Amino acid sequence: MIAKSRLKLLIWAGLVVLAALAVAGTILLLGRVTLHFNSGADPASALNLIPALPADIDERLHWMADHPNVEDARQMEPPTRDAISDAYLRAWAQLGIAYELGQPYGLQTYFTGQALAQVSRTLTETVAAGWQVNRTNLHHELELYFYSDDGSIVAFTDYDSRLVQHIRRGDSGLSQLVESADVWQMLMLLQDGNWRIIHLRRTGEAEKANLPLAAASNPASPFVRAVGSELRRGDEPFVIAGVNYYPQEAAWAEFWPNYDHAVTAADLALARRLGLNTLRVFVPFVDPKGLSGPALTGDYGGDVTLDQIRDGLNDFLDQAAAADVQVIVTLFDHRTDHHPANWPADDRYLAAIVPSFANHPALLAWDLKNEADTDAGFNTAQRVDAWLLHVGREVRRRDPNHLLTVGWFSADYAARSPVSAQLDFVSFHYFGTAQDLPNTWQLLADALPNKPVLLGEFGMSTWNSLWPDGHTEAEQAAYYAGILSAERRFRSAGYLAWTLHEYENVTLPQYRLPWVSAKQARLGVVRLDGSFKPAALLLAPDADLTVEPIPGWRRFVKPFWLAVLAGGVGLLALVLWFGRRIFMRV
Amino acid sequence: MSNGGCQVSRVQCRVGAAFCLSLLPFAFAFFLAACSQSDTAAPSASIRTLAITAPTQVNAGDPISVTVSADGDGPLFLLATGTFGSVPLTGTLAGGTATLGLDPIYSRHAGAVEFRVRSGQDEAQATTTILPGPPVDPILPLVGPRSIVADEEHWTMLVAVPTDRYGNPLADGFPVTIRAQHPAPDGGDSLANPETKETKIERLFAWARIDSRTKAGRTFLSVNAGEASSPERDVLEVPGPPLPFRLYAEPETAVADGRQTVAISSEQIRDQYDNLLLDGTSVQLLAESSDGSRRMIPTVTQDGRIYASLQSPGAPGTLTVQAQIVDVLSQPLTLTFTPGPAVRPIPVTVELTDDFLVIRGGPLLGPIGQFIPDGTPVGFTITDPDGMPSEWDAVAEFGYAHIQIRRSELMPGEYEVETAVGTGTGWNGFWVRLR
Repeated sequence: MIAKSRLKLLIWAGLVVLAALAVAGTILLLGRVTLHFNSGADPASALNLIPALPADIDERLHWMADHPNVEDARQMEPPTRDAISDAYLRAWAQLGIAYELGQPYGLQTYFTGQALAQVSRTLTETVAAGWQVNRTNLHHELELYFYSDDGSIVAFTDYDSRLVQHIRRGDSGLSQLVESADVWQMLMLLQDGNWRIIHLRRTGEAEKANLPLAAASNPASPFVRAVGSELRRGDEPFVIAGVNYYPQEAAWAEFWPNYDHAVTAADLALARRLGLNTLRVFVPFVDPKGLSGPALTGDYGGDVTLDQIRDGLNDFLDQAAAADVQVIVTLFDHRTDHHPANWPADDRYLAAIVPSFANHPALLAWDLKNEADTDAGFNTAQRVDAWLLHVGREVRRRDPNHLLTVGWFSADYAARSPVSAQLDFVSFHYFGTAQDLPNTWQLLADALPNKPVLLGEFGMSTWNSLWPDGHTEAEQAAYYAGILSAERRFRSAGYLAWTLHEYENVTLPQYRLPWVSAKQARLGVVRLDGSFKPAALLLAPDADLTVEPIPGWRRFVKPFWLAVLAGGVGLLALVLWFGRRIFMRV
Repeated sequence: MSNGGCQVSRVQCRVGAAFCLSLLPFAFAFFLAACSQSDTAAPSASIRTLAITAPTQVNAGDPISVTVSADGDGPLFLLATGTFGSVPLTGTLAGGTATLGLDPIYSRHAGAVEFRVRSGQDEAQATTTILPGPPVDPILPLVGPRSIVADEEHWTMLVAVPTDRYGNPLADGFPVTIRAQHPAPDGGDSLANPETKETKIERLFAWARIDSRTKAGRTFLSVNAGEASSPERDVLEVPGPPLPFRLYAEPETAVADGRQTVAISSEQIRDQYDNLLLDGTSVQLLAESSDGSRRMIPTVTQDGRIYASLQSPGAPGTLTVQAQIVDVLSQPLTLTFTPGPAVRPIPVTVELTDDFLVIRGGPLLGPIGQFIPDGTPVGFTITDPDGMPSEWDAVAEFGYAHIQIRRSELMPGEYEVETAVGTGTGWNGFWVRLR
């Protein structure tokens, strides 16, 4: 039996440890609070003036040729046209803000008369009925129809008023996210020096609504195209055999700011040596206008400029073309907030990147977003799907040539999402057991018949430590063999392993826990010293997938299980020791 | 017994607890191993075949009933998007159908309404056009510019947005009548023959240009659409640029004393259509003297005439005056300013003290022997011993003028001084000796 004094000592020791932890926690908390209150907005920003025109007005509003009516009328002065554009864009934006606030806030600045009563009433009634509305205007195509001789009345038609609305009622779970393109007739009046909408009428749906996502499958196309459930390049089937790629010394957010031509050349040569024909790279989200601050974009990609990305990607693709390697470019990396208010910035991002590569021969496909389905928890699945369809259409509008896909994290989500059916091919990520892969693949094949399917990510970390779920390189090779064997059974678009390299450091915030970052760092098939792990040799399309089977007991001969065993034995010995003392006292 | 039994029980408990503790690492390890893989929840969707029917068109304010049919039952979410914005509607599919109604507060907004219903991956949509009703009072015309030149070449514009009882602009093609009552010619009936323009609604509004006529005055405008009328709006038709006109002066000859004024007026000024210029029309009176100097006097018209005063110059000569209205100049008017005001010889006295030289001219007398007006400029010209002249100015005060010069500025020798005001002159000479 433990002596009372020793027991007290143990209790006091425990209390001291708890107290120390509490003090440390309090210090940490106070530090964070202090940091929070000292990292607010720049005081100088209090004096920032609202710009005369929205910074992105060029992208969001376009004047078509004026209606012939206007030819013999007063010609509209450029400053007046700017003022009308500004007021019109801000009117839509203010309506979005008012819906966000749930009250007709500020509408009288941009609407008057019948129009003001109209929009205010609908807003008030909708909010009173318990609906929550998030909406953003994306683009407008205006045709000037009339400009009064005294310059105080203007009438125009908005032939492509693109609007995204997320309407939902929390208590019922009812939700609908609609992207519409409507035609509006507008009458604006110059009052008190401000242009205001006085009458508006929706006259129908714009012609360009619901542009299909799929690329045209022209046999003469020099680009890889989707035909049935396979990809083709020219007349030949094209099976993707590749890896997800970051340079070994500049992974994730460090890739593009530190882009190195020579490293790319060496890694492309390495990929060719492994028999690979495709690499998948990631492009972080950067707002070209700098309007989306860290609150919207997160810190990821914050240190890289679009010019750096464009220049780097251009060089990467040029070298890939020379090496006969195809590239899948994954857009919007780490862009996780798909609130409609962010969509205009997303459009700007696409406009800044996609057109530059619309005719590049090394580009295989645009992957709209890596593991977009994992954003559903924060955004809702409906919002994620609608956003993907929107950005897909925007990419297609700017690049009619290349394939579109989404790298789904979950095959189940991929099978159910309405987005998958519209993509050129479906890509899913799989980190489960090799035995379960056929079931997963079959699920996709059943849900999306006649659609190429790519195993976009699979892999196994060789970080084998005291932490559970460690694996050896031999296990990795066995896993690769199992996965690739299953892939060959269902062969469709091909496969991409995660990743080519091991990494010294993984600096992503979400991987800051040591057992997470270490696991991520050891997923590659090429070791830090440049040598190949056994799994690397299995990646070639015609590789022999025969690997030496690993006895079942070997999985327990790992640091973790040995540590557990040692701990258990130690505890058992302790128990026996205590038991013996107790029995002896009795 | 009880104590001993209790003791055994405690021992058993402790052994059991210790054994359980020894299993904890294994349990924890299995827990971690089980948690090391995760998955993402996938969206649930129930796919139905959907169809939606809605009336092709209805009148504003009429109820709109939409029928949704599907191959299953359940809650329904329909979005109606129209001029009013987007309105969600909910209902329940029972027996494969559901009927939903758009609240009349929305169906009163004319325009195209799209009903979109979605269930799972299936979506159906239908469109209804809400037609605006007949026009109601009042029609509020917007007119501008509010004043135009009555010359048959200028116009104003009227824009009208006739609406139905719900405030909807009328449908395209609806006829609109615009009437203009121009000022009647002299002796004519102002209510006779109003100008009428027939137009129609296009893209929410109707508009017309109303050309001016030749009679200046107030033009009244009105709009009618169906049974609806508007309040009147008025536009000023103002005279155009004037015809050349004449100026008059009273008197036409004055003394060049820099003090007296000459009253300038004009005949009644009219435009080419005999419209009298409006009061307050801006006029620039331009006066150019014979020595080339110019003056500009702004003024305005009253009763169609120009009234202004012109101060006489200090030196004799002529002054040509013209009035300018817009870019029309009057006929030139020449005024003569006679010499003066002093016309008699001027006595000049010189007083030399230790410190100063004071030269005094006077009395300065006019034609009838009166002092010339105070403030009249008087010139003194002093010629030094080297023959170099210097000009000095003074003003008349109670019939005299004087200048004072510091003696230290003068070199020794003989000087001459001459005084002149108008045609009156005087002369004197003096010595400055070395002290």
